[in-house]
Amino acid sequence: MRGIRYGILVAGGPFFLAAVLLIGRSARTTPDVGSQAASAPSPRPAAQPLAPDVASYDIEATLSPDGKVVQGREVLRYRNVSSDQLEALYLHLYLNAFRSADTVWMREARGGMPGFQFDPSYEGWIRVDSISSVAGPLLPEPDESGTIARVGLPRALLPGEELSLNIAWTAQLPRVFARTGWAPGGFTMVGQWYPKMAVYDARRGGWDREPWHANAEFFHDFGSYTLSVSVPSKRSVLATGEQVGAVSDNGDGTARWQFRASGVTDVAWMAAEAFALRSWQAGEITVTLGLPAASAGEAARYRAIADYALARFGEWLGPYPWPHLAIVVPPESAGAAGGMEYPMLVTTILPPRVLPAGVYLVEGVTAHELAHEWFPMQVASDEARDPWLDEAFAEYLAERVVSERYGADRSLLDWPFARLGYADQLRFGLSRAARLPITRPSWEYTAADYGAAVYGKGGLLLATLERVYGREAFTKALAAYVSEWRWRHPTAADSRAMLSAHLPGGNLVAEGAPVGVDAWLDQLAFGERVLEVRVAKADAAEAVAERVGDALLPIEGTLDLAPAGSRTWVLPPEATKLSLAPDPGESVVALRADPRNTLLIEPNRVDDGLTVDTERAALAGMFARWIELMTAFLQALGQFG
Amino acid sequence: MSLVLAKWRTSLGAAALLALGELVLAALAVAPGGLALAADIGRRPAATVFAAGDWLHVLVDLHVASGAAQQGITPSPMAGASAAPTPLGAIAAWTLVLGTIAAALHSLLYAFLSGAALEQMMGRGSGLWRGGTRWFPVLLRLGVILFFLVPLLGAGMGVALLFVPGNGFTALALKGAVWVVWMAGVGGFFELARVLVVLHSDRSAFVAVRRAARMCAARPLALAGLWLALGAGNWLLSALIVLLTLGTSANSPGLAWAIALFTIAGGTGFKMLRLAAATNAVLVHVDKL
Repeated sequence: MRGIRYGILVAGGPFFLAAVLLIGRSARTTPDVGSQAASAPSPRPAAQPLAPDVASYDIEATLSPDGKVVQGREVLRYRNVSSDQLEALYLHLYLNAFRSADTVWMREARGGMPGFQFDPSYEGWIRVDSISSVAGPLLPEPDESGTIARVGLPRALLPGEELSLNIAWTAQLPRVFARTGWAPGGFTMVGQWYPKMAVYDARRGGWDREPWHANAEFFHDFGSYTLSVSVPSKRSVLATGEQVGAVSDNGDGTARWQFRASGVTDVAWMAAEAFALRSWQAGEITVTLGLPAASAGEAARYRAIADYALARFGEWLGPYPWPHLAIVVPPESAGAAGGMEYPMLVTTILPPRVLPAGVYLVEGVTAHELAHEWFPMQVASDEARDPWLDEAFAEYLAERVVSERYGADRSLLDWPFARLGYADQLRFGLSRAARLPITRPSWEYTAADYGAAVYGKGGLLLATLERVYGREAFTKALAAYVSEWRWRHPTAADSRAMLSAHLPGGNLVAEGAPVGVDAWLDQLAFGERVLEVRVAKADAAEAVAERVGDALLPIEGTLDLAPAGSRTWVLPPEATKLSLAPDPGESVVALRADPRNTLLIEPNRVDDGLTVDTERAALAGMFARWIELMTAFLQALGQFG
Repeated sequence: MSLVLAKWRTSLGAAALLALGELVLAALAVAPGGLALAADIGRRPAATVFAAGDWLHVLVDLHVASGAAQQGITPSPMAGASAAPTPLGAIAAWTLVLGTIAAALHSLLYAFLSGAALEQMMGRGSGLWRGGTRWFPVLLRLGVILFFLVPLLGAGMGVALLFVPGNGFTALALKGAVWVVWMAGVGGFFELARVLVVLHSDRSAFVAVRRAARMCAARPLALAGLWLALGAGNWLLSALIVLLTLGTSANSPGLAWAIALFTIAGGTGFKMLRLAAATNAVLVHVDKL
């Protein structure tokens, strides 16, 4: 989620403060994109479900006139796909995390997400008003956190058997500060808003009964949804799913919108006043963008990155499988709802008011959220227990796609006098997370470590593996992983097994044996080792590279020689030091480790090379540049002297 | 304008000395970094990447490496090939200290040379040394007043602008422009005071400031236009030079030195031009009284 990622940026704040303080925004006068989607297109005929239905919902809901309360009813159809008899079911009641400042979630979050604070005057909660099956009423028993409730069954649900529950509930939405809630000005983002079936998986020890933690996201079974929402007539609605039929007037100042979706693990929606809706076709996908009407001129920017990312992700991982995608740009008052993913719906960010051209924050966030439509919306890992299986992959994919589009060294910031790439943003995480495993459950990290490790280090590790094994092989491995685990719930072990099967050896090879991806994952993902090399010595007669970190992985480099030529070398995994000498008649010019910048996961890249002589011309020029800057500073002060 | 240029030409000696002084002071302030470059740090690839204009990537790498070093994960990022590492923090600290000393010395140098230049511009025929020593004490006192007043005036206007409604890009850009114009005006006002010290042989900096205030009150628009053109223009030119060269390669040392020397010469020449314009304005005002 964007808030966590921005925690990484806060760690590197000075650089970004310098960036955003410079004024020079270019006026954007892009034409409107697509057509308004106030009325629904003709719905496609209901197709076969994309995924086996395990937990399916038919939901009817009404949003209060002020946009703060949802009253809902649902028919939840749950099929026991395990081989165990289930004596009880568990429901997630996520909104209860916001019922006070003293919940498990709030204590862990210390009152808010990075940049956004909980307003205790506007708490959130969810109350199950009634729950029943054909056998009669049932009693939900929430745990201490209130976010998970046990529902005992009158008799066990047998393997393969299906159960229908009728649930009525009331949800009070908080003032938005953590993805879901309302904001002044008529905007409501409705996420994690209804009683949701937990996952039962014998491989994971049974029911997922973990209370909702601050760092955690979500984990649910696939199913089919129908959604019918009544909202004040002046609000537009975007939701998970295809819109069904036209918007109907209820005759009481409200309008009814209907949606359906198949092969999804969740449904979320937004209802907003003064919103512009723009639709277009991206291949087989109908995309609808919703953004504040005052920012409608920015629509082309979102379309550009969405079209590009959807096309490339589809090529690499397999096509986006659903017929529709909604992109929601929350208004400034609801910034905390931005940067989040749901099946068939993502939220992104408005460009900051004072933002010159050449800053690709919007594109980066949008690409990251779109990548989630594969991980975990298709490959539905447990986001709470194995957060890296979606966040690291989303960061890797976002970095790859924006770097391809804008240039790797400038995919975040591209100004004439300063450039930064998306990967630089990820590298900030390494300054605190270099030795943290990325595979812990989300609740075992502090908020700052979570972003740094799972997003930053995780994304960098995957980018490193891509460079080690080659883009083609790595992409094939990912595609195979998606193909195998689409519509299923892989664990970390499953993901690792898939990568191992497809990446047995790499470009960096130890003498005599290739190094499989297991060695990388064991040490750098699951383990706490650090890959670090240092060029310690370079003189005319000898050059020395040392393994400073404790990760035993191969490292390659070059030895530049005079009068001409260059040799490659490899520091094998088991070696800690490599000493190289030139042949007779030659002398060392420079020793470089990782000259191809493969090892993005290495924290200290400053010492990855050494020349025998200083490059005097370049350094003389740099000294002159510093004198120029210092003089400009003295003269600026001297304007008053 | 021709009168201004004529006065400006008389100050070329002082301008040359000021330029030389700025070069020496700037070199002094960046000497720690320079010495580090000449030693082991200069042999690291980061140095040449930095020189090629890719400075922000290098700073990111340094930040990451420093963070990892603080956790004991890796050696210091600035560890040289020799046994003793070159501490980045020490270089930055020394640069800050020497930069502050350079700024203070620069103020003293300008207090001396501006007095000498004004003597020349007013046609009194004093030599540089005599002119400078004659006015140095009172111009130094004026500098002390500046040291306290200018930040107050700058902060005051900044706070006032915060209360002006409008947060959009256009509003913020306008507020920024207003602040720049205001500070240009403040700078011009004190230049006026500097000229009046020499013209009236004031021994009190406060008296000169009061005279400047009366003069500005009498001819606010003309003086405001003068400072806007010269002060804000000077800052804009300096900022443009810095921004345009910052991300470009310094791998052509001849060009880099040419730009540095142009910055120095241009800045000092412009400064003397402002003094000449201020002198002309004062003399014209006095004539009209």
